[in-house]
Amino acid sequence: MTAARTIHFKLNGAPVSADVKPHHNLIEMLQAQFGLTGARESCGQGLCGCCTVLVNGRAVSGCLQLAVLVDGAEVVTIESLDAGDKLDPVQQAFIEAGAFQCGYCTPGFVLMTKQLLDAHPDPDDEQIKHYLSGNLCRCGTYPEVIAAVKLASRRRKGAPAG
Amino acid sequence: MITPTTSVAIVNVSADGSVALYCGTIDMGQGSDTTMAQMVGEVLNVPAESVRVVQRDTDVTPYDMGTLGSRSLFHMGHAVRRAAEDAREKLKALAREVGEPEGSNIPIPALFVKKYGMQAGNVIGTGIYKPDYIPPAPDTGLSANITAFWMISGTGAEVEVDTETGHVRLLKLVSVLDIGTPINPKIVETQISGAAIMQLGFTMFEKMHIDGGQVTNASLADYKIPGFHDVPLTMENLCVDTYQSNGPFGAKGVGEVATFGVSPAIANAIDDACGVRLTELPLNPEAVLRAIRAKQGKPLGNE
Amino acid sequence: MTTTEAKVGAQVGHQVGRSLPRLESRDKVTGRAEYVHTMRLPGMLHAKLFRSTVAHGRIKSIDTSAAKNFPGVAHVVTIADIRKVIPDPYYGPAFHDQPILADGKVRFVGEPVAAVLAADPHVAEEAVQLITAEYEELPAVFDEVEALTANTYIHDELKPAGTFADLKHLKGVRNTNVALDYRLRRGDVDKAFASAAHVFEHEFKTQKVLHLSFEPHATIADYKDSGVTLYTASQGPSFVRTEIARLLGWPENKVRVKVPYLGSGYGSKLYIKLEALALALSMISRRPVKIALTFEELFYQITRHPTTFRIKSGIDKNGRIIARKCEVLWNGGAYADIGPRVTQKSGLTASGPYDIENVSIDSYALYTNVTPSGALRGFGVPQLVWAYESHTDMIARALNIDPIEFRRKNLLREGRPHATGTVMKDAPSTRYWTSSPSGSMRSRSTAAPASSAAAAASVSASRR
Repeated sequence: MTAARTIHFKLNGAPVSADVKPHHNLIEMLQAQFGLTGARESCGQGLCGCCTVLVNGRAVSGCLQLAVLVDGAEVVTIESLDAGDKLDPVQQAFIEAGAFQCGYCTPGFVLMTKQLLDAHPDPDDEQIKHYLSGNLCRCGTYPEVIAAVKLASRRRKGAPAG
Repeated sequence: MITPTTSVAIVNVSADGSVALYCGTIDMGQGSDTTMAQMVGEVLNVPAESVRVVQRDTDVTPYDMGTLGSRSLFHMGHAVRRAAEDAREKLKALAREVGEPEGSNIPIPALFVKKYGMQAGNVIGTGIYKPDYIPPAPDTGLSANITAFWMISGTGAEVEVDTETGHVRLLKLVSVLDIGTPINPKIVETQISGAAIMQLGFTMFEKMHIDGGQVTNASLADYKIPGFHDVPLTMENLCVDTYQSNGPFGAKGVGEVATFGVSPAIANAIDDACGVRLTELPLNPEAVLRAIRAKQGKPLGNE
Repeated sequence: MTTTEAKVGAQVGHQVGRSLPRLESRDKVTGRAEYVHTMRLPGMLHAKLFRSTVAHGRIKSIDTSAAKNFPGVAHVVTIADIRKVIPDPYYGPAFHDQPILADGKVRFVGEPVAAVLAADPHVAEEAVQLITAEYEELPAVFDEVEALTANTYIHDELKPAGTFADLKHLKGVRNTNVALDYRLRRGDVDKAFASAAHVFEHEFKTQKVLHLSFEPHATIADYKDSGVTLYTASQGPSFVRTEIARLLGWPENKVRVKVPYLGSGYGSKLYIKLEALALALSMISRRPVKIALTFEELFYQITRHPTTFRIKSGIDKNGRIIARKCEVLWNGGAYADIGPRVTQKSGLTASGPYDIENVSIDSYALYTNVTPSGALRGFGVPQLVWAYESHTDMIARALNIDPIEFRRKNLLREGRPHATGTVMKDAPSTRYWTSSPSGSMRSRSTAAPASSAAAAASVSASRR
């Protein structure tokens, strides 16, 4: 096993450092060294979306991203969204639309939805399906997720949610 | 399931009036914590949101046979209902004991203070449920009481078959269920559509490929499960208006029942659409195309 | 959300019937819900498994020396080590047929043969690659139809767990792959077939599929002399406690099973899965041990039963089903798990939700050399409905009867006995069967360019 090296990056806005080995992926670093377990490895192939993390503003599959590669980067995880005890509108919309069951994949959906709404503030069904097609939900909560995205979209635009 | 099956629950009312539920049902996404809390809230006249459902720990939570077979809402539901009713009766007894008149509306914290002189004590209700059951006779398999409740559903499918490629597009999937009276209609609807979507994967494409005993597609890249684009264009999830006479608050389980009809409904729709009958799952494009070509007298080869 | 205003006789309005968001909603959308797969205990070791590469074979030798010498490896464990801490290392809900690690034989590709423990999971993983095993390969049986008559036997003798009265007669039975045969006999099927105007017979098959819960199986066992604590992704902590206590010969009160949130299960995390192995490894290492499967390893844990269902129906001149004969073969894989219960509990519904005077059902649980099969959202019923509702439609079409009308004519109604003899109670009002409440249960065809479209309906009833 190869030696660790120290990397420095911004995690949810705060400067941090971590000792990582070349084979460590982003998820195991976040879990083992920072106690952040909202991004979870499931399929291990970057196909399910459970391990979604934002690196320099872009959603990545944390199970495929080597930890050393975030040296100098800005990393944002699901845990940063409800800073100050206030839920992000996307999170609130997921709750109101009942857009999850077991919850294992939910953080990935929430982060991707945020990115979707940044790119398309008022997405239609096809845009939602296309954009979120890299996130899978084995409980099959897809119709509720679509409803949640639309609700969040209305909320973010400040329109009365209906 | 493993019959007869037993569930045990405890409801604990603390001296500040807050309520905790101890039950072994595992909430793995089906929403049981919420629906159990609603049943407690219904009996004790407290908002369901305020009921704490204690995390599962066999040192703390009492026996439950398991979270399976759509049994929890029925079996544990009854145990929870009984535990809450037991707590309610004990609260009433406590009110009588401290001299409150019949029908008193004394706040629960005041009741405990009256009894113990300070915020102290608990009222603990317990409930056990095990349905009646007669095992099937060994020689005939018959029984006059084989089940506490039946799971009943119907599924309708509307499909579009591309006869050039064998691809089947699901235009509409309708699930109609008898689940008694829903405790939480929103959660029930999600359970119905989730179960139907899961079974849709088992119907249309999911398959473990095994070659000489070796699984050759043991990864999500090689074993496809339903994603957004596999959900039928229209889904309707309906419950008939019924009341399960022996169920808790007229309800019964819902976790599995929407899976039942999905596969045959789609196969029957494919037959209706293009006159081919598939008798083996999954109903993937290759299987459909092979059947279409066989019917046309132009069967596909094996490679 | 305070309850301090709660009053003994107060009314806060009905709680039942509310579409209340899930209580744990905030924990789930913030990523703070806890799952065993991401849990850690101080001093914990990780276990990685060396798995069989052959479907059926005698283990001639296992060479763990290189793995043991790999830097960072704490222990390499085989069944011989496990016997020192658990003398009878067999478990299972219906049969005590599953060894904690392969014991002399392997019975499916992917069966755990050895375990490596290390503080660093990557070390354990790499050391697993250094283990080698030699097998004397045996003929293997993969197909349930073949398994019924094959003279290759997966197990030398049947070992019912004693939990179920109707399995006790199987104790010690040899030379069979049948782990349970459930039979139902109602009326006189042969006579009814002889008098039927039409007889239809079809065979249906289902494939091997699996749950794929996104939280793969995970268990942490923390063994101490005073008691053992298991943190486990389980749908049934009470069963785990009973089975672990049995393996240890301990009273249940020394076994503590904790389950936080579950990244779903769909039936895959029932009874006992990784718990026995995690316990044994913690006993050997005297440290907390975590086993967390990878996604790939799910394919070697538990699946749904593939089935072959032969169904035959006799119809009278009025379109009534007067006889139905069902033969269902359940491909249970190498270990019984809960397969015998699936075979019985679903088997007794195999004739469907119809009012049929003469019914014969034979339902067989079969051992084969593939990953074990168990419960998956429906406990066998979806495989049966697939067959009997396809069959029902095929009959209706052949007889030129509207498929809905055919079902309506034959459905079991309130007060009528099901095939088992149990009288139907609380049937939804027959208006739901005699009309189409949503308009969706009626067959409908629509035209679409270069394609066809159709609708169909199926009904089912099952029990628990």
